[in-house]
Amino acid sequence: MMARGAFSARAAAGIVVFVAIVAAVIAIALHDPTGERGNRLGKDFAYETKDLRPIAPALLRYAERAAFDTRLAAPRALAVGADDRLYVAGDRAIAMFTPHGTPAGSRALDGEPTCLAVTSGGVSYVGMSNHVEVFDAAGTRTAAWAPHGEQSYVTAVVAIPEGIVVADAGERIVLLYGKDGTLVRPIGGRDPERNVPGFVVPSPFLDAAMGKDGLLRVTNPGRHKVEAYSLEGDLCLAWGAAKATVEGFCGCCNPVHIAVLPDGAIVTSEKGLVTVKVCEPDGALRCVVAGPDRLGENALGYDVAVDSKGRIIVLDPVAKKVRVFEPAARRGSPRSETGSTNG
Amino acid sequence: MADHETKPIPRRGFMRAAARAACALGIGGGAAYLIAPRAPGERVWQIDPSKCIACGNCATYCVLRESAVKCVHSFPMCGYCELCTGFFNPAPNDLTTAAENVLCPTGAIVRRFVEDPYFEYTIDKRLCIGCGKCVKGCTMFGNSSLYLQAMHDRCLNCNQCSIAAACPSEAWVRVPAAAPYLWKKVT
Repeated sequence: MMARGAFSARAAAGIVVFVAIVAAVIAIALHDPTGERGNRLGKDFAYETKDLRPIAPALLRYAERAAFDTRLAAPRALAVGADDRLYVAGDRAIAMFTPHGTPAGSRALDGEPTCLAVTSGGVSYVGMSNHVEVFDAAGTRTAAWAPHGEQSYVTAVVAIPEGIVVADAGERIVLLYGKDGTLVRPIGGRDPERNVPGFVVPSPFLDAAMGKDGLLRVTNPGRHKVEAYSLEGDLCLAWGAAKATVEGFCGCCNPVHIAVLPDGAIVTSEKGLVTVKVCEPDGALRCVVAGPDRLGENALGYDVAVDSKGRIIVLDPVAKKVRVFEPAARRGSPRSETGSTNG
Repeated sequence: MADHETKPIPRRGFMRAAARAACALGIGGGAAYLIAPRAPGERVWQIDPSKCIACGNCATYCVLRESAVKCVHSFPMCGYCELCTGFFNPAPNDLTTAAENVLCPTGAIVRRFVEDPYFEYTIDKRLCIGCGKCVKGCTMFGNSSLYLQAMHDRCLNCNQCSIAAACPSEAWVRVPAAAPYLWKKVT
């Protein structure tokens, strides 16, 4: 009787210890002190964009032919100058490269640049947050224009034969200046009488590029459009729609950068699901240069420019690289002696 | 001098009175602790928005049943977008407040028309659980004006914060109790 009682007590104690050990092992296995196993929320709580990333292979008609380091900690803007030389603005400097990416010097700036344009004569117009500074071909500052308004934030400069076009994201306006810095006229400000809706600029991106048809292309990111203005300020054409698919512009405010190809097609760059694509001058999608699988997902804005040979040059601020894209079927076209100033 | 006869207090009565006094002291002391301004050297937990990746752990790792973390909105940074990617799911059918278009699983974001094409978005803190889904949408496409903060009317300031331990980006930091929030500013 005693022996059976002692056995039962020992068995019960053993079972308790066994259960405690199993419970401890399960607790340790399930414990996630570093949160590495995720948030344990359901799929309704996941922000999912993977279905929006793939691009039909038939649309991808460009290939990355080269990529080189900008040697800048925070590259911001890109321009093409004479002989297709590349200029990258960032930090407090402008870094210069040959068309093949070989470093060709740099120039120090007094502040942080936000955008730039370089003429075929080598004159640089550099957006410096709220104003534009002008540098001659030797790099000497020759002028600093006054800010247009209290909230000015210059995000694009375009050199055209008629003057200098400045996109001011802070004041939500495009400004046509003479080359001496005299304001000729504002373009694109809200004006219902002229049927101009006005720029909607939720984030600091407003870009412009001169079209081959003589119309100035300007992004209107909050309305998901590219608009075409005459230099007199008439709105002549607008296209684009908010769409999560590649035919439209994704996210809250896109496109953020544009450039014009030698045949007049418009290169657009979108943030968020970073996508660079080529649209016909009337807005129809021609093809995709690179999508988010190649360029990633972020809201930094990848500046784009085009050289005289039609290469599409993309500034990748995450990798701090310049990426050069060419049509997938074409390789090693001859160099041109003429320059262009897009971007 | 009157002869005062002291009656012995029964043990049960003494214990009851002592328990009552302890409860009163505890409630009073706790209330005073919550109401009183924090000592200058005291520090509390907060999320550094520049490090937060909106992973969602804040919603589930808090010791409170309803997390102390909520979304906040920086109006000076907001673009007042018609297509707010913190409000709408990434591929909305339409820009309406119909449930299939809306991102927030708990319906905690209120959309209000301001003027064409601008809309204002505010957070209903009673409904927000701090999952950070809207923060991800806003950060990916927009200005990151939506971000997460630990609400100090709810946070218990545990010595070892369980969310901080589970935070993959080490965004939880100790800040002075006198300035317990890390508000985003327009630069």
